Amino acid sequence: MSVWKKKDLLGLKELSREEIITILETAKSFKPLLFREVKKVPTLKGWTIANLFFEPSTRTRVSFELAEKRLSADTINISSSVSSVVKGETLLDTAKNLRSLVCDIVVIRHSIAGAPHLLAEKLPNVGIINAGDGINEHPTQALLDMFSMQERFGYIEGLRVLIVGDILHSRVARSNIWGLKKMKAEVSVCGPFTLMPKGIERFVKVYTDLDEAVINKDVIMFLRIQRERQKTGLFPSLREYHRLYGMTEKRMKRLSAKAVIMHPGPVNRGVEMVPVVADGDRSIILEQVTNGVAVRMAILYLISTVVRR
Amino acid sequence: MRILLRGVRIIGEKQVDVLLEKGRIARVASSLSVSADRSYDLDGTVLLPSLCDIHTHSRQPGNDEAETLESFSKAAVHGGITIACTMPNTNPVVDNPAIVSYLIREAKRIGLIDIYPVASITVGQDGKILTEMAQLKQAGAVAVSEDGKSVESARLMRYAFEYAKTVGLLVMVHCEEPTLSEGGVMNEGTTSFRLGLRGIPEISETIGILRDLEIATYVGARVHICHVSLARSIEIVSRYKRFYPHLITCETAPHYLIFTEEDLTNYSTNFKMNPPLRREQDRKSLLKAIKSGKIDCIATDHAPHPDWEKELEFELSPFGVVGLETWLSAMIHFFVNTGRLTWRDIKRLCCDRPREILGLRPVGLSEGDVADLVVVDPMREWKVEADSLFSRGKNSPFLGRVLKGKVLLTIKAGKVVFEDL
Repeated sequence: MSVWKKKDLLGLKELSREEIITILETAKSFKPLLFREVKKVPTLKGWTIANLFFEPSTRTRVSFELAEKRLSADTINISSSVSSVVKGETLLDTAKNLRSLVCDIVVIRHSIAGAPHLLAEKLPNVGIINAGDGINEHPTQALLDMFSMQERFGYIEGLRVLIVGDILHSRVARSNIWGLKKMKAEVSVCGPFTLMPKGIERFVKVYTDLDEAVINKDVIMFLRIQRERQKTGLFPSLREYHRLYGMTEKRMKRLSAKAVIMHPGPVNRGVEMVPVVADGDRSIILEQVTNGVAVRMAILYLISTVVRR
Repeated sequence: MRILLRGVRIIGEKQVDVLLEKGRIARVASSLSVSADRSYDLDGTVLLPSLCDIHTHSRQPGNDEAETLESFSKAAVHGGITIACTMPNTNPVVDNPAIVSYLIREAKRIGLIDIYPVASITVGQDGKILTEMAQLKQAGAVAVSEDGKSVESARLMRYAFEYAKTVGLLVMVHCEEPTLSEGGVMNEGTTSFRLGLRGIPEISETIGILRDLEIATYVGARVHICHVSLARSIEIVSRYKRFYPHLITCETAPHYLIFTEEDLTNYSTNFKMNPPLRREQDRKSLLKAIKSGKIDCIATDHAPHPDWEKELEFELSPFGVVGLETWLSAMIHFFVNTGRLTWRDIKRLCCDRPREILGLRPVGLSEGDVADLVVVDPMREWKVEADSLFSRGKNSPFLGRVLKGKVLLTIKAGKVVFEDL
């Protein structure tokens, strides 16, 4: 526990290998709680946590809320549709209000990279957790992904992880790349060049052929494709996207015996993968959802040890 | 009014006394024992012509929150500048002779600097109808430019170059292919991937430059390329300059010579500008190019914004940084004091070439020349802070830094317009 010294979780870029291990170990100790009869501990009793969602989200928000409730914290939810953001209130105004409301921890999702960093700088006594900022990072998602890999394989070092799809617009991909590389996994990506960020080859191996890419991989992680990307000319059609980058039963046969399929959800069935893959025995998509709560509890707890009121 | 400057080193050379009288340099000698109304002991300081900044934003008319002509003028003389060209992206746009006259007149009334307005290429910067360039010139406009916007239609741009050539006006171009840069907030590459920020690709600048150079040279019009930020752009401009040396000039800004995309690591909006900060190899090439003369001059692209506009999420905050007051100091701190540039280089890049580009004569430093001067102390340190800047815009990438090299005196036509001794 003593390894953890940060008041904020802004991204996996900012974390050390030891800090990642600390989070994963803490999450492991929280997970059994989720299956107890009384699924609650008093760890954060009396703490106030604001969930600030400037972008629509169901899964991440619900997962955070559940984690907060399991830790007995008081929570408030502010989403862009009901807050004053639409009335032209700036992020800094919002920050000042949260300070006046005496919140202890703020979970923020924002469509712009660096928004949590700005909040963390302006609120020096409040713990900030990044729940996704623009195309930059989604650290809690990557941590739950790594937790799920660790749980399935017993180790992360040396795991061969392939991330497939829209890498360019994906904060999930970025966080996983930074985190997995720190954990010494072997990360590669696969997708058309139009969905590949320029300069990514400096960090990971790049494939364009999925049939070739899946061979000898332990984890194949699919990213959700935003349908509106097609309209901007990044790829010609969902049909062709599925042909090139979707997981089909035929492609499943190329996988190694122990390989698993992951997806941050929600799955576009028939696009990223056919339903039998999503629901099949190689898929650990639903385990990811459960683990998300345990990992977020761990992060909230660790941050609470630094944010002393 | 007789002003005696004792012990200044003209362009960094041997120490002399300089007497100013009736707006001109009256005498220069190793030691003068004459009476004067004001006498300054300036041992070890450096005397240069005052600076001429051909690319600035005064935000006037229309945006007092960002800058007023008063604060702009004060900031300029604090930076050793007595001539500033102001860009037309104001509200209303500088697209008619009345606004041009207003800017010149107001600057005169304030009495610190001369403003040479740059008028827009099209009415309202709408990219549709050319402005009345002959009348704009008559009113005092020194060039036309669409500033941060590019004229989208290549055909209209051709007409603009042809018409500007007809009336004898310089065209200053901000080169950018907007369909490539749209949505981008920093240089595209490994760093934008790492920061998760949307990238502006190099080809947005180079394609913009190629288009405008092709059109300008095809019709034989004078063109000035604003804020070159890439090694590749230098190559392109140099290639065209070889064949059309009399038509083409270009500038870069101090921030491209000092900072790189790596400075964006903590999402500070004081490093957000367009074109964006580029890679280290670009910075190095720009430095070589100002030394060799491939890049003609330096201009600040001074772009003040009020705090509440800059203290936003990175993508929401506007492009642009202030630069008038740190220009000369930064050049001294980073390049003269480190031996990378000489005082003569500074004079050429910040004083002489900018004036020549506007069709003005460089300022002489001999007896009889008009006394448009700046005195700097290359050893004096000052901290760049919100309170130390006269500009209303505090959005400086140097904020919080100590710079070695400070303007002590700015003199315009023999009159002291800034003093910090």
